[in-house]
Parts: sequence; C-alpha cells; structure tokens
Amino acid sequence: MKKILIGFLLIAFMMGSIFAQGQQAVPEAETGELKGSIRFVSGETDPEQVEVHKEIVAEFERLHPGVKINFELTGFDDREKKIIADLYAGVPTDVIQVDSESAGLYAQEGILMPLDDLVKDIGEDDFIEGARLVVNDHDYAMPYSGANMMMYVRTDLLEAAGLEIPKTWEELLAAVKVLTKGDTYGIVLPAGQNNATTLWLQVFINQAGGNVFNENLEPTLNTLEVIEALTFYRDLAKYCPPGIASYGYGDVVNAFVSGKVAIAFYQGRIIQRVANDNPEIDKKYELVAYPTKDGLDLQFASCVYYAIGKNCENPELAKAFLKYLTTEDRALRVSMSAPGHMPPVLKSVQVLADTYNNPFVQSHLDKIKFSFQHASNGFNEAVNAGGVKGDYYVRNGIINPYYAYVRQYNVLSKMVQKVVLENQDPAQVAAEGQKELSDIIANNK
Amino acid sequence: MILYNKKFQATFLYIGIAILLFIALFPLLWATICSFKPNSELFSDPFRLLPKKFSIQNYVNLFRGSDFIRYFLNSVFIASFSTIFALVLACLAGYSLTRFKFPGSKLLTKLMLDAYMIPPILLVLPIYLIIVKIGLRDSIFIYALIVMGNTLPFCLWLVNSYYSGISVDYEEAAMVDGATRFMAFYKVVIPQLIPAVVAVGIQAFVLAWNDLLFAQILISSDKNRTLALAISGMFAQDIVYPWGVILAATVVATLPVLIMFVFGVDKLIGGWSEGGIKG
Amino acid sequence: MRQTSSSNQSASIITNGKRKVALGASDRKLGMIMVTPILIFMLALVGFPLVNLLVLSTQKVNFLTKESAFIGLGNFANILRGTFFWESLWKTIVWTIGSLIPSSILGTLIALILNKEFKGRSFVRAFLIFPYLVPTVVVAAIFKYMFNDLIGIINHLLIKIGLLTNPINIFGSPQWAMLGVIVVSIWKFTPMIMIAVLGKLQTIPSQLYDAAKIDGCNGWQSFWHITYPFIASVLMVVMLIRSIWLFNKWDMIFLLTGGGPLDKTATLPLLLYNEAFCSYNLGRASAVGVIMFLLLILLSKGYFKLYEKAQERV
Repeated sequence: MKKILIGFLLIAFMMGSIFAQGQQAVPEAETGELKGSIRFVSGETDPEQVEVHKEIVAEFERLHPGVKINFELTGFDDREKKIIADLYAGVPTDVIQVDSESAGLYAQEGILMPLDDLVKDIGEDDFIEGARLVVNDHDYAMPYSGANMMMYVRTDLLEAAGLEIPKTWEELLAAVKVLTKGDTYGIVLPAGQNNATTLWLQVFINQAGGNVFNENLEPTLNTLEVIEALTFYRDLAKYCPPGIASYGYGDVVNAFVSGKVAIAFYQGRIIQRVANDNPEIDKKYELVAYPTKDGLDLQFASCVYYAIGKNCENPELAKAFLKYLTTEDRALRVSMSAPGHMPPVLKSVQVLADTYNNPFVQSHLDKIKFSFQHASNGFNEAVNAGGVKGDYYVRNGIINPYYAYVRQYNVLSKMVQKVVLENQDPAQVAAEGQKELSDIIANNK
Repeated sequence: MILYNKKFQATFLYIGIAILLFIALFPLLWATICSFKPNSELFSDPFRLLPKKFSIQNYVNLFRGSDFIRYFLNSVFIASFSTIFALVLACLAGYSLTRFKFPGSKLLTKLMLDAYMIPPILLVLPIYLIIVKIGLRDSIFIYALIVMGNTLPFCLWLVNSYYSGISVDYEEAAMVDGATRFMAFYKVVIPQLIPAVVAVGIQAFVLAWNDLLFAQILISSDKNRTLALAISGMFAQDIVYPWGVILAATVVATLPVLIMFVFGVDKLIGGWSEGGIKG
Repeated sequence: MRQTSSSNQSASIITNGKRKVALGASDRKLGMIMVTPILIFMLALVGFPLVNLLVLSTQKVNFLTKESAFIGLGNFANILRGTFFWESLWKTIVWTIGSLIPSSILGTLIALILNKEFKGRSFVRAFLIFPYLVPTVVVAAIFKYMFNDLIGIINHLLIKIGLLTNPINIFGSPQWAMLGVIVVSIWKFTPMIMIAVLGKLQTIPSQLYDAAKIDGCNGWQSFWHITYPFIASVLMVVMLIRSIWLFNKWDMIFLLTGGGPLDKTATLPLLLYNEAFCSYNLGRASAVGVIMFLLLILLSKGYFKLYEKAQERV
C-alpha cells in the first residue's frame, strides 16, 4: 500500500515536471515579412473567449509563418498586479489587456506605446463614441469591447401588475414596490464590499447629477447628489433579496436568471445565461436603458482595451497582430463569444452581426443589437473626472488615477453597506465617505 | 434500573453518532448531488434531494471550459513535491536532532520548532517582494518550494515527536551487534517510522493541496494555476460562474484527498497519541 | 564477546539513564550534515523573510517604484494610534476563542463517545475526520452555496421547520457574519481536536476504570480523576496549535466574506493582506505583521507557563 502511494506520488511528480516546462524557442522566418514572437496577455478567461482567442492566434500564425504569439491568460484579480509589476520592472511588454483608467494612467506615465498609426489605419470614424483612449492628443490603447450596463425587465411580471416599463427613478421605485410579493423580489442590487457595488453606486451618483471626483481630482462625495443616490439605493434595497449584502456581479446574474427577481441591472451576459439556465423566461424579459433622474439621460458605458508596452521589442508584429485581432470578422467572433456582453467598438463590426450565422445570435438579435447601440451612448466618470454638470454631462477625457483607490479601499461599497445594512443616515454616510476618500488620497501621495 | 440506563445510553449514543455523521458528511454529499443536476434545475428546483434529471453537463462544462485538468495536475505535482521534499528533510533532521548531540543542536531544535509559530501570512509579503525582485514570479517550482517551506516546521515538529517515541535501545543493540549506523537506521528505525511518515505525509499533502494565500500572490498565469486558485476564482466576488460548475469543481478537488484518507486514516489517529503529546 | 562496530565509534545518547555509549566525532559531523539541508531551507524561507519583514516595517514603501524610505517606528505609531488595528485585533480574538472553545469541547465529547465500543466504530471514526481533510476552498464554496438566500438548502430547511420566516444571508449580515464564519470553522477543525484526544484516550489502560468502578466511582468522577489528567496535556497542546492557526487564518474568512460586511469579519490576517495587496501599503502591512508575531510569541509563552503548571498537577 505504501508502495502504491509512493509510486503514485512519483508519477505525479514526473507528470508535473513535464507540465512545468517553459516555452519553446521560436524559429526565425526566412522572408522579410513579419517575424519573431510576442506575448499576448489577456484576462478574458471565460472558456468561450479563451477558445476564440486561441483560434485567432492560430490563424494569425498560419498567415505569418515564422511568427509566434505566446498567448497567456492571467489570473482573475491578478491582471493589474502582474502588469504593473512587469511594466515597472521594465519587462518587455507586448500586447496586454488593460481597462480604461489603468490605460490612461500608464499612458500618462509614459510606459505605453502610442497607437496613432493603428487607429488611423482602421479609420477614426469607425470607432463608436467614447471608445478611443486619447491622452495628450495621442491614442494609447486599442479598444476591443464595450462594457455597458443596461436594465433587464421581466415584462410578463410587469404586465401582470399592470405596469409600464419604468423610465424614471420614481417609476422604478413605484414598480419594485408592487412587484415584490410572494417569493418574487422587485429588483436585485449588489451590496457586497466589492467592485460591483462600487460601480452601481457610481452610476447612480452620476445619474443624480453628481460626481465622485471633480475636474481637479478632488473627492466630491459630500454633496446633495451623492446623498440622493445613497437614498435611492437604500430605498431600492428594501425590495431586494435578503442576501444582497454579499452579492457581487455573479450573484446579481444568478438572481435574475433564477427568475426570482423582476428587474436587474447588468451587462449583456444575462442574455446567454437565461437561455441556457432558465429558458422558460427567455422570451419574457426585455433589455432597456437605465431609468433616469430629472431628465438627465446618463447611461454607463466603458470599454476594455489592449495596449502595447513602450518597451515592446517587436512593435511591428505587435501592432499587426493587434489590428488583426480587433477588426473584421475576428472582432465579431470575439464579440459573439459572449453575445451582447461584449459589444464591438467598431461600427463596421457591429453591422456584421446582422448576418452572423449562429442560431442563438439570430434568435436574440434584437436584444444583442440593443446592447450594441447602448454601448455608444454612455459615460464613465473614471475617465471623465467631474464630467457631470447637474443636468448635462461632458466627456472631458480627464483620466482619474485616484479612481483606483475608490475600488481598492471599497469606499463607495462601504457607503452603500452602511446605508443599506445599518440604516445610517445618508447625509452622514456621505460626509464620512468624503473624509475617508480624502484621507486615503492624502495618505497615499 | 441499570438495564434501563444502559439501553437508554446506547440509543442516545447511536442517535448522537447519526447526527454527527450527518453534520460531517452532508455538505459534501449535497454538493455532489447538486453537481449532477443540470444547472437550470439548480434554479428551478433547488431543494430536491435527488436530481430530477441526472446530468454530467456541469462536469463537461468544467473540463471543456477551462484547463481544469491542468490545474489538477499542477496541484498534484506541487503537493507531492512539497510533501516528499519536506518529509525527507524532516526525517533527516529529526533523526539527527534526537540522536546526536552536537554543538547547537538543542538551540537549533528549539528554534526550528518555534518556526512553527510563524504564520504564513507574515511571510507572504516579504517572500512576494523578494520573488518579484528576482523575477521568479509565476514559477511553479519556486511556488512548490515555498509551499514546502511552509509545511517544514510542522513536519519537523511531528517527526521529532515520533523519533522521540522510538526507543534508541534497539538501534544500540543492533550497532553493538555489529551493524553500522546506517544499517541500524534502515533495519530498526525505518519500520517504526513508517506509520509516522504516512501520518505526517498525509497532513503535509493536505496542507500543500489547500494552499491559497501563496498561490494567489505568486501564481499569475493560467498554465500554472492551482486547483485552490481556480476554485476560489470561480466564486470570488467579481466573477460570474454557474453554481453547478463550481460544485462539480469542488467534488473533483476533494477526490485526491479522499483517496489519501482511505489509505491512511488509521495511521492518523494512532499518530497523535504518540506524536502530539511530546510538545 | 561482542565486537563493537569499527566504522563508527558508538554513539552517546542519553536514554533514560540506561546505557550510555560514547559520542564519536564522525557522528557529530554526520549530525550536523543531516541538519544542514533543512536549516538552509528554513533560513531562506522563514528566517530571511522574517528579518525582511522587520526591516520593511520601519519603512515607507512606494509599491510602484519600489523606493523605500526609513521612517523608524512611524508605521507602528500610525497603526496603534488608529482604530482599525484595535478593532481588527478584537475581531481576531473573538474569532479565535469563538472557534476554539466550542471546537475543543465538542471534539473532546466526540472523542469520548468514539472511545466506547460499538459496531462500525472504525467507520464512524474515519468518516468524522472528513471535514478536516476537505480543502478550505471547497468548504467555503459549499457553505456559501448552502447558506445562499435564494437557492441555499439551509435557509430552506430552517424556514420549513419554522425557525426562520425569511431567508437570511448569514455572510452578509453585519451582526451574524462572524457567527457564520465561526460555525464553518468549527465544522472544519473540530475533527483535529477529536483525533488528538481520541488518540490519547486509547492509551489509557482500562484497568484504571475497572478499579474505579470497584471503588464505587460514578461516570463523572472517573472522568474527572482518570480521563481528564491524561487528556489534559494533549488538549493543551492541541488547543495551543489551533489557536495559533486560527489567529493566522486568512483563507477561510477571505473566501466566505472577504472581510465584510463593513469589515465586521476583518481579522488581523485580512487586514495585513488588504494593506499589502489591495492598498499597496507595504510598510504598514509589515508593521501589522510584526505586531501579530509579537502577540503570538506572548500567547505561546503564556501557554507554556500554563502547560507547565498543568503538568505539575498531574
């Protein structure tokens, strides 16, 4: 018995060693064409996306023999740390995934390669509004997918209660009151100490006409608009499932898919999840825009980007691959790996979806196209600091490096928790949040 | 009167045991059962005892959708490497510390046992910085070494206790009879050491299999991901994963530990009586 | 006439004063050689980082540029003056003692039960060790699933038997989150105490109990005078180990609640982790670590004093 155990362990040891080997050397190409190798680091770890990226990498390598694209996936929460570590350590960084604020931050610090030629090549007009990342008049990252938040509404439940789709905050509140009965809840919001809650509150603050920071990058949490947003959150929370205090993105999705909540906010992923896990309600809901406050039509949309590190040793190859990856049918296939969840940022690619030969896509085309259209209609404060001006907003392009602290220290999500879980006074919570954020920024200078 | 007491005691005993067994085993059983329900059933009919429709879809999705087998093998390699290495080092050192008196051996023993008190959470930050500086981040070998370092004090501590429990008289008798020290070790000590090695080995393996803290910090690429890291990522706050797949993953992750347990459970119990007390 | 081995001179080991054989130089050397590998690894993987931690705790480090400036005890002052450290310390104590005491009592009771003869005893023993072997990630995932408000079985059952009217989310409730994580911790770690005590119980000679019965002792008396002294030493040791492990436990709480809600379950290890890897405040995180280390040394010194006292009693 002991022998079996030892044998087993030894075999495991050997197998593991085989797996743990590093990467192989790359053959040089003979022609004067593209050659060499680059790293392609992505954080899109969902199986469908991984599959599609692997295919695209293989295609590119076939088109350009002598080229090797080393496709790496990073950990879920780890992407930022790894990239920061590499960038500052001067490790040659080729094509990496970044989100908008980080990209802006790195661009300002001068560690990203400008991509003006790439953008011009694709055509500046092809980009949907708000997608390009321009710092000091240069493009520093290539967007590949939108990330926009919409409202999912169970029209069957609305109809049964004799309600219309809510278009304003007041209508939403009235609707969820009526819709919460039996074991159905009117709405689901996250209230865990996490990024989801932070984002949800940020959107409400912007919708109320306020900002988390002003144009001078100073926190402005102690304002009437923030108090209104917190109050709204608190009022809505009463009609949420009891567990929201530990909810994050996943739980919100699960709650809507379970059929037990009537309304939810999220990106497009729910379309596919409902079709897979609860086909009964597949035709019973609609995708619409967020309800608005006082006539300010503000929706949230952001983008995810690829950037190239300034010290990339093979920029020609990196840009060529990046262009291949983010245009035409490759971009469409990436987008369709999570239909509706990853709206394309190029108008030419969005149009391709109409004729995409996939039964799921075709049967849900209306919802998917709504998501596309909604993606070019949004505002993200993290890259437009202080852009909300009460009853209108401006995409001023002021990138806010301090927004990262809001997330790291969970400032906004804690404010939500205080108001929702402990029923603290929103005015006081807003004041405390303002102090906390100011202290954090001061301490970290 | 006494008869009543005895019978009452017996039934009470059996009921108590049944309850305990239920509490101990239910979570894993429930996870297993639910993992064989299609994910939609987890939403539509979550509380059924048995699946309405038995399905392995979750497992299919699990293996198709990520490199789960790779994570599994990574963990197997790391845990095995760490356990064997730690055991060898600990057995060597334990023998020396309990049999030989060389200058500093007492101090060394005390220090190394005190190292047991040092929590991994303290070491993770300096180790992280050192590793990043050297640029050895995301190396599966380095990670395995560090995990091994974590289990070392514990292994040494236990192994030492066992060594103290093995009487030297037999060895001495053997050596007086003409055996070399090595032969004495081989013929006399090792047979007595084996149950200890198994017990310590199992606990060391479990410790390594479980590690999340160092994996989270030191491993970044997908190809080096460990099982613990993969599963924690599935239900971390910012992720969207269907419960069915998560539960399937937990079942798969628990299997090796179950196997070890079947092999060595009696050694585990025996071990503590001799080992643990010597403190 | 017995020949002594020629290669080694015989070893000197003190064995209960029975036989002493001389220690040879080559044995001494061998001893040092055998210890060297482990020493190297311990120094590299434990000793050196610890020193590094001490050094870091006196500095202010910029994570991005890796520049560091010496600020003496500044970090410590910052921490000890603020409230978040002390609150976290309190939570750590609550967590440790809240898990330790029930675990120990439960573990001992179960061990006593399992010490009796009954059919299928070895099976039951084996199965009850289960929770201890299940990986922490798995435990966290399963318990999170079971405690889920919409599809979790525990809420469902509690409502069915009438203990609850509405489902609650224990890991999201500011009042009950700590209880929730403690319950999971008790589930997972009680078997460890059970094994330890059971092992010792099996070494108690049954004649003692027979003698006691003849003398007219009842169950409680034979427990107190025979059983307890034997297991006391094991209990003390295992409780010390458990309290150290609990004090330092990071992954269990992190996975279940992330430290929330509202930091209600943010024990010291989580504080350290957050400071280091979320706020990138490495100097301060290290200082927290150093304080934790000192506390642990105090804890174990105090424990050993108690242990010695208990030994004297026996």
